[in-house]
Amino acid sequence: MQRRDFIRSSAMAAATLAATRLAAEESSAEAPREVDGVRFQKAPCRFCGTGCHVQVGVKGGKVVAIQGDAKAEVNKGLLCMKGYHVGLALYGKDRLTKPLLRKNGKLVPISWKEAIDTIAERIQADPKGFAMYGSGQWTIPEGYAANKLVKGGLGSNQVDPNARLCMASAVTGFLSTYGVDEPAGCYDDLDNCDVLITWGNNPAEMHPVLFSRVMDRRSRGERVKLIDIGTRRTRTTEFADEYLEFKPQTDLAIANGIAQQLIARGAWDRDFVEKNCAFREQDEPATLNGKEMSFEAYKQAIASYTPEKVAEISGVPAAKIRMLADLFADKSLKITSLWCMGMNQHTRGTAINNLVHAVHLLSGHFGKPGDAPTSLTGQPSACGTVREVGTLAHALPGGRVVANADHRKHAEEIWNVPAGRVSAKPGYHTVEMWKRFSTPKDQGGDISTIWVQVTNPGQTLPNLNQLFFPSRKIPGKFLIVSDVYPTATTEHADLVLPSALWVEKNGVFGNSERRTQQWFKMVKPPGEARDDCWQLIAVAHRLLELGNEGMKDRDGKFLFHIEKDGKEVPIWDFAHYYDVNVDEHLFEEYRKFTRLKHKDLAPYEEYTKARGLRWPVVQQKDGSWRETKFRFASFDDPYAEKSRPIDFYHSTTHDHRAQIWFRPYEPPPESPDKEYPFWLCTGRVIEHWHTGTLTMRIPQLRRSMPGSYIEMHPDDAHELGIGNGERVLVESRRGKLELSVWLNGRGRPPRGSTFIPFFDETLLANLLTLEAYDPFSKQPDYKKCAVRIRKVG
Amino acid sequence: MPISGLVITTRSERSEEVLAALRLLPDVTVGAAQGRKLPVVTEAPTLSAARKLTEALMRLPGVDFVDVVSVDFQDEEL
Amino acid sequence: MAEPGTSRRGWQLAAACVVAVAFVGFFTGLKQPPVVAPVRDTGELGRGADPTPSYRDLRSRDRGVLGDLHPSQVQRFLDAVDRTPPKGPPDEQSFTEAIAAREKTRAYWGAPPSIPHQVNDTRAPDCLTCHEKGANIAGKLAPRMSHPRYDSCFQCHTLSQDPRAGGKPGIARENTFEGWKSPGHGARAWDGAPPTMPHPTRMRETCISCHGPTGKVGLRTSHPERQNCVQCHASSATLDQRTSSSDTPTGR
Repeated sequence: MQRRDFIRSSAMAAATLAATRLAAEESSAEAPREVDGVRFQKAPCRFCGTGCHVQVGVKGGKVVAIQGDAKAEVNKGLLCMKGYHVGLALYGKDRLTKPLLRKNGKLVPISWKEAIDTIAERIQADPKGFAMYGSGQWTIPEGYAANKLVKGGLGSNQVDPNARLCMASAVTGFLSTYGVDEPAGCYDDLDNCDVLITWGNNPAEMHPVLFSRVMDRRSRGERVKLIDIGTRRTRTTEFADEYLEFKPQTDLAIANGIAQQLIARGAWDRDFVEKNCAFREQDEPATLNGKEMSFEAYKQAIASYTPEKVAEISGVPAAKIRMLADLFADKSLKITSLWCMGMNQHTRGTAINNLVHAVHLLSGHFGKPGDAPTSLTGQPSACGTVREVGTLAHALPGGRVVANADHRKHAEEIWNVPAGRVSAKPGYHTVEMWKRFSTPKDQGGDISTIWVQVTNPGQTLPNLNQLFFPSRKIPGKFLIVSDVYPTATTEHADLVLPSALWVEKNGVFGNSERRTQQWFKMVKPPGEARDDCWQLIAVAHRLLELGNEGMKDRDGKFLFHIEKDGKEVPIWDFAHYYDVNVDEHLFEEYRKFTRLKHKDLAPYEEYTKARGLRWPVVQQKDGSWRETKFRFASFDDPYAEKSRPIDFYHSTTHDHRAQIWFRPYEPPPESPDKEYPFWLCTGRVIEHWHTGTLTMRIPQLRRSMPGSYIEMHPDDAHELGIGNGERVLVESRRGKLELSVWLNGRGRPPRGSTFIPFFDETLLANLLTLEAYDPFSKQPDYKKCAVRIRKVG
Repeated sequence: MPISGLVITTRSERSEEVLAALRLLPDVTVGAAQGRKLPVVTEAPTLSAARKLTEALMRLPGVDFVDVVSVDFQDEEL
Repeated sequence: MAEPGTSRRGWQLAAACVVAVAFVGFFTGLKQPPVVAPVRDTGELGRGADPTPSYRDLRSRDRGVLGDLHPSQVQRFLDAVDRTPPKGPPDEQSFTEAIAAREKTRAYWGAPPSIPHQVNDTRAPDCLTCHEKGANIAGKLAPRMSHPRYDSCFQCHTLSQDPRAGGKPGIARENTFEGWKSPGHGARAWDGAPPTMPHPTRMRETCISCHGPTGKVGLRTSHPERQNCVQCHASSATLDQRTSSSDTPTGR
């Protein structure tokens, strides 16, 4: 026994010594790791909205390896196939390395000076006809600079991003429910939920790291029930305990069915609702905030959505609707709902977002770890750059809107520009912007120049034949595109600017769970490629030289004036762009905007140390900065009143209440008929990210999924005499496309439905899609339109 | 009876939770924490049990890493 | 229901087809299916076994059938692994060959390997059938997975062949990425000391995946009877992202 005591105490002594040494190493500032001549530094992944952190290994000025970041809470060291290969995205052989101007129909190399001059002169000639089309892949400083240039400089509001096509309905859903945008919960809910409901969502392919974060709990012996509510079987369905297949658009009926059951059974959370919620319905004319509704009126309105009626509308058996209601009625369960494009790319997107929030609020499945309605974003900074920086045509940074005089005044003060500079008139939302660009000026097409950064509208706009291609034939329309590779958009551009990509520049992203993430430049961009943010500042400075008064602040200084040692740094000259950290300057200025809506950000410095922090990030008495995981829950959110367990402190009705909306089911704008008998849904696959500009240049990913295809039901194919792998012509009222059929492929649509992924630039799915959009969010519906199919030769 | 000295690295904000979980394990003796580094000594009847115990510690919520500092299994023959 | 004799023969024929088709799936890279003798078993096969797939099923599953092996056949492949330990440490040439073979399926050292054979793209993966323990399928070793069980194999592992039924490939463009190469052997403190691990332990927690009998010859350990590898072979805190120290045991 004595000997064992001795061994035990010497083991403890050794362990304590080791712990002391390890702790000492850790408390020193984090230097980059270096192994075998490879230097590793942190960066968020370039791809989706999950916001995994990677460790980027650099050797000899090139990225040579990627590791999952073990210190990152989001991914805990794990990545997906895109993340593991993200480093290869920089090294496609056809990177754009020189500015190119279309002369006599051909893109020819020009100098940066000529490029910047050309843009500035276009803007100077017609400032109101100039629009920026940005991106949820813009870094926060890039989006902020673009917003400041257009709204604070040019005094127009013509900035809108591709995120309009991606998460605008989630925004209007959050705003009209809670009075403030972005999810209350976070990914920690995934570690705590007993039930996960995916609403028209396929996270197994689109947010794989989050999906495995939940599903791997099963391998550890935990029980997690997965309910997949979808319009086609996907890889997510393979893991599901229950699969509820609904007819497109009828998700509204399903959510109403759950609410009806909760009310009819008296199983709703009366205490939670009475303390924290109010009821809301559509007003006339329709506004985002609607009008008040009594509980009695709500009860009456929802009463008709019996399981039987919902079954009739949606095709989901009544028993399954009751099963969903059983889950929500069970207060001992923790339920997390996830959704992404299925609910957002929807002509009733705001409504279905409202309804999923309503089901959670009505049942009280809200505000406890594991109980949360959480929307996911598809782009790495759709939340950070678009929703928070406000790079939307109606918005200003920090949750402000141009229509509000106080908000404009705040912006003018922070930007130090003369009062009245910021216009009260919203700019055009995406579909409108491109429609006007594709319309001659004398017919109302008042947008003459669009500058596209970090996105590929020539592949992603809906109904390309109406929104994109016509502009290319109208004289006087000028398309500028900043990108890293030739794309379906640069192909048609008048001026192409080569951009730096990801770790070729400094950056800050904001992911789906309110997490702001910073990285430093690690390698040089190829050739003459330069930062998007520099491009904006260089154009602003050229405008200043051309005498544009908008580029001066109240004190007559340049809008992007940065001083070092009492002297202005000429950041518009690329040779001096990295003399200071421009990102840090812009971020610190932007930070001033973030308090109003309690989306407080910490100083830039804090983000250099962390693997991201979730806002509101509030300074503690000891000077440290604390992030917030569960918003509105007073146990965690410093802005929630301590006297209430839940405090909706941005309530649209200013009474601490969230709104439970009644939203009826309405049929979609286009449904299959005799002429066009099939539904068409578009979307993504795990290998490729959006338009494949990066992932199709990564051999491992391209090999794994080299091209597009159409999925359909084998019985439908059989009836049309189509065999697996055979070629078909797919036609909608707007366009046509020839592809090969893949039966029993990656996903399996039910009878009458088809699916085409949109990543393949040689097979543009958006020739077929419909440009109809949600009335509030203006987000188009890429998930349903009618097509016909016929076998070709 | 293998006796191992380990260092458990906890997530700083979850140190308390990890400590509480460790105190419930009879075969684990916890030393004085150094920041988020926690020295512990484990005892197990067999080598494979020792390994299983170490793996179980790695899986504890709030634990980032487990480093093995020393393993003594001389008692195994006894 | 047919009489027992017929059913038994039918089953054997079907089993043979399953195996044959499985082999075809495995060797699709070769394009020509090897001739495989039908498997006959005189034991009590089929007792308590899952129902055999119908011919129609077999025809429609002409791709990716590795996971469609009949459960009773799986054990054969697992048993076929030669577990006799090598006589001594592997020679330098087979080590180099093993490293080169690994590089073929990886974008860089440390990247998850792509799947070198066809898989059934329609279903949640049955990868574990072979890769949970490692198997020997007609002389080809299916390595045991090196990391703990994750349920979503296709999250990280890409396919190496077009999974679609047909269709043109998109535009193939060159990529000039040059990935990190394996630094080779781990460092030894002195001649005869146990080498340190030259690679991270993350996602490589199961040493016998590569260093055991289903690993590549050049990587196999000469002393598989010693179960606790980390007892003697030190891991690298830097590679494992535990410290930021540049002091690393990695070296050639």
